[in-house]
Amino acid sequence: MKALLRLLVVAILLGQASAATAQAPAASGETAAPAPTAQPGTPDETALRYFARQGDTKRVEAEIARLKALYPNWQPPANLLANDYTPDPAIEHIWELYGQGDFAGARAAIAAKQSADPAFTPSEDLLHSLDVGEAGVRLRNASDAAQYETVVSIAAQTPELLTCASVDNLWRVAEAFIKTDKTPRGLDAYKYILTNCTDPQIRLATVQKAMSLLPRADLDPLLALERPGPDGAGEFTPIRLDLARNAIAEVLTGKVGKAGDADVSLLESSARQTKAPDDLRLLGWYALNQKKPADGRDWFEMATAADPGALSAHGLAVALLDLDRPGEAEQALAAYSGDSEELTSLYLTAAAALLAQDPRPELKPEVLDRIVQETMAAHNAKAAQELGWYAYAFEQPQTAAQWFKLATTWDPQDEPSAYGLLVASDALKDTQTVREIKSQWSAKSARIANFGQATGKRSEITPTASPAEAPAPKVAVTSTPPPASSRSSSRSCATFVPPGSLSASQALARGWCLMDLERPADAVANFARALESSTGQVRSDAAYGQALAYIRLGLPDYAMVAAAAAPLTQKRINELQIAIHTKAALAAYEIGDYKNALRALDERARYAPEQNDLLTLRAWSYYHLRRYREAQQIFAAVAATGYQDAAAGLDAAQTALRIQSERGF
Amino acid sequence: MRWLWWLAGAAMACVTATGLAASPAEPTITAQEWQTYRDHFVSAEGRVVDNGNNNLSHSEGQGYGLLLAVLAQDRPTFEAIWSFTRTELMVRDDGLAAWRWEEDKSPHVTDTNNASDGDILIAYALAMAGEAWNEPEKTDAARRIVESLGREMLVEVRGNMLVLPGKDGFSATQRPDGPVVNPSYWIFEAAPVFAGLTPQIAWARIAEDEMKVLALAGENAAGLPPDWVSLSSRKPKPAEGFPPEFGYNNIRIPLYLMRSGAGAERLAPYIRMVGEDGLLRVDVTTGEAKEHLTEPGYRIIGAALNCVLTGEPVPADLQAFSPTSYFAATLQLLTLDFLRRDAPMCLEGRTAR
Repeated sequence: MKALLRLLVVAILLGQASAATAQAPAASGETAAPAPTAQPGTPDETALRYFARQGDTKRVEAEIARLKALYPNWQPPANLLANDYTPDPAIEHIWELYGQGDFAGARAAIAAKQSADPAFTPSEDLLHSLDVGEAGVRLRNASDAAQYETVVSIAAQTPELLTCASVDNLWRVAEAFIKTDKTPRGLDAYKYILTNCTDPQIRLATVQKAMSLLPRADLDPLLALERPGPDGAGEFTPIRLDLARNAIAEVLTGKVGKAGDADVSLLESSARQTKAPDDLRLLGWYALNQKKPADGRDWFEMATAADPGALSAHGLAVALLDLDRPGEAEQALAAYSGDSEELTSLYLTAAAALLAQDPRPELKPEVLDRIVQETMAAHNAKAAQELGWYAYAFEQPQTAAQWFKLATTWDPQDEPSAYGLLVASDALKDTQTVREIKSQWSAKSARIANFGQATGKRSEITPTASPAEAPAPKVAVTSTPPPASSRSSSRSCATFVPPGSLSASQALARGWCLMDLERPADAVANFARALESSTGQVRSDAAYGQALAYIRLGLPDYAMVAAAAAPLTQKRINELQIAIHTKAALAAYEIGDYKNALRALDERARYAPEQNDLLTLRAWSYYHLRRYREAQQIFAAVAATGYQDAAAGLDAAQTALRIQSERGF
Repeated sequence: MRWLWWLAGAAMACVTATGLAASPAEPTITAQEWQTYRDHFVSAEGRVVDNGNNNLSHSEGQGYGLLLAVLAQDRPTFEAIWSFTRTELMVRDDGLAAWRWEEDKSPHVTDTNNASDGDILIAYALAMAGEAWNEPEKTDAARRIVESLGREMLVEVRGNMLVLPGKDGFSATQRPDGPVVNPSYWIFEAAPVFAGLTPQIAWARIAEDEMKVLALAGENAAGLPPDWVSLSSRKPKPAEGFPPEFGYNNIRIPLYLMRSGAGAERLAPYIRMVGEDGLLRVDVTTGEAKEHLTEPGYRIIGAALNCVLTGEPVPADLQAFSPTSYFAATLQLLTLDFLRRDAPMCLEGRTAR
């Protein structure tokens, strides 16, 4: 039997193990180790008796096992302490050094004894033991140094090293085969261990070693050698779970797209049972990866229950954001937002999404408070910007401007923040800031460059007062001024009143008031109520107001419809047409539809000549349509009037023309 | 002119087919010197410790330790050093030794590249031990290393067959100014021994070619070869990335030349490295001395060279062994071994005049 096992080791080393492994299990029984070469002669009992006298029973047993393996017919002496044996202290010392792994010391001691006593010959047993000991050290060092051919060569010359008791050597040999593209022989080495070694920990560790070196498919023949554990379950159950975890982790690291169903369901049922937080979270991330955010949320909720903390909250928040539930995400992360940069960033993403919801949610003061604190601490421009829009939506342009200002301070390159500041400053009539932003950003942002043209149009469509005396918000100066009460305080219409509860005239006045507050959407509803008036003038005013409100909302098509809802004076019709086409041109330009921008400008030109701002818009449209020559002409004309915004355009057009000519177009 | 008889090559007669003459009755390194050396530089587990280099160990040090143990006729220490060398360094797939070993690192081998001078010294010492102590196993081990050197480390440059300093990083394909050689890695005294072990490899011709390149490499402002020599063009030049100097490496060259029995015309150029108070580390691009190496182990090389060339005896203070650094101490013992073996009159006051 031992001979067969030894043959097996040799077969593995020679790469012929498949046949041998097939026979081995039947023959091996309880045997754990292959036998080294049987030695001729009689064993050297020096070490055995020395350890016995030292009372070192562990070493005595190891030595008896070693000698029995070397000399199968040898029987240990009945009395190891008998006086019939006179030990040589020098040889005892050599064995002692050997026992300590001091092979260099043992070699030196042998040479010293030989020098002192030329007749001394060390026993074959001693020399062989030293050879094997040194070969083991060398094998480990070669393995550490990734010198795999050396590893295999040492193993082939020293099969005594390849035992279950020194399973590390077998692992290293298997690795050496695998690293030198001899995977089948590496597998044979692992199979050898799983077939012959009984220690459950060694068996488990063997498959783990294989896992770290081999692809999943190669592991199946090893898993097939599984034996039942003490609890009746397969001894490799933990390994199979590890494999499932690895399979899922490979998806998460992008190596493969999907894990096997068996792996996923194995881990799922285990996680449900054990509530192991790492597994619950792994499954959560996997669900998110597979675009199943609801499943992901469920896993992370289970993880939170089992292990409340940043790790679980992190995943839960991502799941909730995926589910478009930023409020819950913000809540989940609130306690951990400062734990790491990543969590801070995720928290602020959730907060920004929460603030940006449509309709804007009314947040509890404590929620708003922590968002503000975290935004301030992190100097996060995006969240500050959303706080700005949030304040702006709730009629606090002053606060909004402050947030936008902070956002631009924290991120001077952020166009949306600059745009927000522009809008809020405009609402505050802060012309200084508006001018600053426009001069700083016009070259980079079309919407900033073109901002104010709508405002300009508003002055154009202020029919009864002279435009110069009527700044932008006085849109509502009409032939029928709204009641003084509603005009006296900008706050008088700030609280919501259902338009249906108002009279037509009240609704009309309220509509103008809301226009003053930059709440055109609410104004639309009030003008709609006013349209129900039996008075022609009120209806006409209401149609006019509603059309203006739609224009303000950026909905020129609706404005056209609204304008037709009641008879309007030709003057108002002209004004509305101008406003509608202006808005259409701006809207088209903003989405990059330059052809339609030009078309709207042409329509508008039927009602009024273009001023510098719209001429610039026209020139930029030509520019984007690569009609550089026309762009250049308009820019040049506008720039000649001292209109600053055109200068950058002129530069751009001239550069484009030069490049064109250089390229020979 | 003194000692013409010696310069005529009498020393060559001392070199047998196995290198040095068969072990003399008395070791050429005394028991006391060797004991002192061991106490300072050889650990119990057979590790030669370079105390000038963060106490690391290397294949060169192991080779020197083995060689000195043979010369001191100390078999037990040889066995210990050989056990360490074999199990800790000789792990490379090609049979050569990993060159660097550090006690506080895991794994201890921190560079698996080889250094050919270490391999040559180990093989040379093993061959001498095999012969001196009649141990065919050691001769076999030496032969395997020499075969590997012949298989792995030789390069032919413009018709000259040379040993590269290491397997990795010195050839023409591995660096723009390659091949790069280190002439102090050429241990000429080993050539006849290697030729005896592996007659199929032309070690005698290799030694001759190396001597030729060595002479060419010294054609510069200093008249001394740089430690690291680029052979990419016809005219040898200092290799990129190394200081362009004749330094700690190459001060060994005259010692190796003397030990191999080279004649005066080969030795004479190296008198330039001998200063008043020690050996000179020299910038080969300017010929200027950058440092004076004053440890006795360095100075004795200059004194021995001077004696061989002019008959000026080696001062008595340099003949006394009191180790400083590992490197200097090693060179001092090798020089004393040479002087006692081949030029004893250098150690005898001024009687030679």
